[in-house]
Amino acid sequence: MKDNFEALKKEYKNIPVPENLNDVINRGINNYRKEKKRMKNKKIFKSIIAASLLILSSFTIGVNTSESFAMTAEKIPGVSVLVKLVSFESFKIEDEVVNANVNIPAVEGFESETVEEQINQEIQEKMNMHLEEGKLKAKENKEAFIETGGKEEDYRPMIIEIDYSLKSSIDNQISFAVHYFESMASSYSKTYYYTIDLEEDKLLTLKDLLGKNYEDKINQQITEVLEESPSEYFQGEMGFKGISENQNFYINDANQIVVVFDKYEIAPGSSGEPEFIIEE
Amino acid sequence: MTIENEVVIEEFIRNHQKDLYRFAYSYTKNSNDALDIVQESVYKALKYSNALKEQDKVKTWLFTIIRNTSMTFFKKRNKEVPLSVVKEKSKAEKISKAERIYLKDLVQSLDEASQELIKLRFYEDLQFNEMAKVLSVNINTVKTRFYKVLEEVKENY
Repeated sequence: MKDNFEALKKEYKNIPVPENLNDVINRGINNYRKEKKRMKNKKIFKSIIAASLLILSSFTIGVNTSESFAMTAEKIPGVSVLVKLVSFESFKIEDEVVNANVNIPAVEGFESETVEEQINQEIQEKMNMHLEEGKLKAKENKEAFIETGGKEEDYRPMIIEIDYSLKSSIDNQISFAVHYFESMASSYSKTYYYTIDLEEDKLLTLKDLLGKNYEDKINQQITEVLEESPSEYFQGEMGFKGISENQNFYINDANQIVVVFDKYEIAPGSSGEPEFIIEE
Repeated sequence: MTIENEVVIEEFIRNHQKDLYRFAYSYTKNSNDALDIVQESVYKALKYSNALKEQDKVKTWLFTIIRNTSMTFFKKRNKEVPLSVVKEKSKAEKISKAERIYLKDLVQSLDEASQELIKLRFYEDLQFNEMAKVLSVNINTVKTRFYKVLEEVKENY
């Protein structure tokens, strides 16, 4: 029977194609690229806002993956400061597009209430922004899933997790991470790091810790590590090109500075969020 | 490192423009509408490139998007959606055997859903599992419907 259709198939394949088809295809591709760029700019714009807040309160932002629980600096032996990292807001969302487990922290016990408020407000705003964006993305994704041939009953809601972890609390300094994670077809995560000098009620930067030449110091040490195992990191155009102005970092339990990169920033996803311990 | 979906999709689109257009045209039967649908589908495919689960299924996946976009397009225009359920035709509607000299006429006398099955199977050379994807139905449903249509054609040919 199939052979009988050969002539019809030929006719079908010979439908004249308009000359401007290529332009139309390009327009479709460009529409997408423009939007992608717009989304990126939006992100850059947001990080500019974040960066300006950093200058105001000299604070650091970063990335990490570890799971965490409510922790207080008080509980760590040998620490006498009264500043606490506490769970401020904790709730769950379970609907047809999102399953979220939210645990947003706050700092308590600062001498300067202004600084305390500033940090807490910043954490709140950032996490609420991510959560809202995540919910919107989940909704769009569900629509796209159905439109691109998925079945309603096969749809799995997006998983969103917001949590935090205390990285270290040594002398008059605490370092912690606030982590946002979402997972669908691919996963996305973002973590913000805060390292605070409790004596001065001040968010610390790498420059505060390592001095003026901090960039050179860090870049040199990271380059050495990268050269030892080149296969684990991107090379050339996509590879490491020096730390950014607001490079993510935290202080670990051994009182070492740990510089952290976003997933995919300098290495394939399989390498996770690369961390480098920096010698002072 | 694996190639990103986005790259695979864009390359396929560029190399198979005509196939995509033709497939859209087979629904719209109108060049301008087909171009609109292609543009919209290209955009959607890139935007939701995450939804592509297996890269070697990119053709089927794009066809699915074009088909769904065409359906949405008809709905928005308040036109009758041409491919709903297979409609049983009454005997009276059937054209007499003598008039059906050419297979083409015969195919065109079928309802839209049956024509679509023939198009996907014989003109686009899709497998049953691929047809099931594009039509968003179960593979057994596709097989049953397709053989029924084939029987009908054979009977009258």
